[in-house]
Amino acid sequence: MAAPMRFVAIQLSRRVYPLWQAVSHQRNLTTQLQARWNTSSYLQQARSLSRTSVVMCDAEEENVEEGASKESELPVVTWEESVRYLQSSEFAERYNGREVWWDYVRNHKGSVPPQKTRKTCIRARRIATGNPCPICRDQNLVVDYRNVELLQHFICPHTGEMHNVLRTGVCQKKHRLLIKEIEKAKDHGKGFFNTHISRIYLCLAHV
Amino acid sequence: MAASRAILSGCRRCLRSWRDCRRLSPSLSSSGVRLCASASGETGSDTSKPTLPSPPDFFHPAVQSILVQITGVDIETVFHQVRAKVDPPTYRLMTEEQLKKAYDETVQRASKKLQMPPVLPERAPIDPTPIAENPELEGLETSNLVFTDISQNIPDRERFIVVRELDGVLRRATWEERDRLLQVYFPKEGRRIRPPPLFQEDHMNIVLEADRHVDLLDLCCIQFEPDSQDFIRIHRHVYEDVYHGKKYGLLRSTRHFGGLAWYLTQNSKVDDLLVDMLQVDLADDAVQLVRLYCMLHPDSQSATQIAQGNLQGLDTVKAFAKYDAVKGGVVELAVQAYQAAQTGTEQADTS
Repeated sequence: MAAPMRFVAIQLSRRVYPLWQAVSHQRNLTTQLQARWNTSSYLQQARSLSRTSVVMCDAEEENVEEGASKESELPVVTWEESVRYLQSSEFAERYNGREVWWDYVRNHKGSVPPQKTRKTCIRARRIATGNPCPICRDQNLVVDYRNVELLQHFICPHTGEMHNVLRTGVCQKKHRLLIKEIEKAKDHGKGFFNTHISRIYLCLAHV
Repeated sequence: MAASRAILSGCRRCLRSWRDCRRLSPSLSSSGVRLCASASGETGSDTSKPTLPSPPDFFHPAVQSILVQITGVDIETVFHQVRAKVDPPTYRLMTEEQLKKAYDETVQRASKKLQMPPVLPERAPIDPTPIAENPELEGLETSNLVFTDISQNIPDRERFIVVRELDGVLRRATWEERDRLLQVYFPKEGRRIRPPPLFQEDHMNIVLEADRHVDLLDLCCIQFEPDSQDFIRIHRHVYEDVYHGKKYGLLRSTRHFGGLAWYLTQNSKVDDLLVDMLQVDLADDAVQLVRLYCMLHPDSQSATQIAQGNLQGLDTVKAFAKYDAVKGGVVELAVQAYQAAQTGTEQADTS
């Protein structure tokens, strides 16, 4: 099965262009998830302008704004629901058994991506960008130290280290949250930790 | 010495109390804190006598040689593939002699990695009687102040750490406080200032269910002192889990096997371990384990029977199975199965 090309870590400064299948998959996925996004009003306006211009009377416009403000906040999903979601067929179908970030492509000018991802995808509890990062685009992915399966997506299976943020494409805020939750999961013994301990200090205070 | 003591750590809470340090005796031996060496009664003072009147210490040479032998040195286990960032392998062209030399060096490195953590009795609590009482200081602070001697080249156990409490009492720091502050000023790699929740029972059980006993014990060795309460508690919990689950293979050829064998022998829980050894064709190890049992329980029936009858080899295991084993039948069956397998292979070899 054709897999998207992935260069090793030393060449991360070059733009990684996935195969066409991966790009089309991302487009489909984005369309699927877009229905659930509660986007900021600015983005809604921008989208409505770029597509057909709908003429609404004042009363309808007011209704639309009220409706938007009532559903303004992104739905709160608990970590248990997220764990169940990761086991579900919906998840398997959406991500094809791969990591949640495998098909994500950042949009930027030129061949070298900015060496920092965006600060955050979510502002004022709404999505504030047209291409949210792999975690922010799917509301059911909750980063929590008890949600070990999701955290495993962001850890290299060979070295046990966290993937580089340029590889996964997550926003900085979520990246910091991931680091924190992975550390917390290790502290609670949730499944995984580096077994390579180079030196063990034994206080040999005996004879 | 005056110059070294003039170093201030810079933090308001960490100022050393000059007068108290000078007034009090530098060594803490008078306050009930002792170096671990003298904690257990019998250290290896009877090395000259072959039969010891009292049970030997963990550090007795005979005991250590037995434990080292039954731990074994399996290169594959000791240098197993780790989940870490490693360089690609290098390839060298070698002669037979060079290869043998490299192999011997590897075995030496492996035996260094298999150094056993010491088994020590729990450290006696530090004398809590106040050193000084200054009621005039009451109400001036909102938390305790800890004064630590941060001079270089002082052993951790002799370092001066005292606490001024809110009511003006000056006392010596408890063991937990000492460990925490020593980690603050003289950090050891991999050790956290406060122990992670991993070492609580519930979280330990999650780790043990995943058969990660070695990882848990390694982290315990990094975090705690060998004679601390937590160290002993965690090791006991893990050893009990190994005993109940019969997961001896997990710890074999690791640094923790000696401690496991010592714990099981002391508590007379060696039957399943003997059976496990015989099933993996480690008859010599089984014999050594029975020998260790006799050394630790010289008054037991099997010890006296073995001494009287001057039994050797698997006969000692049979005697143990007859007299002192809880599951004697199982052990006997295992010995018979092993012997049958041996004769079977001998016949196959000769025919």
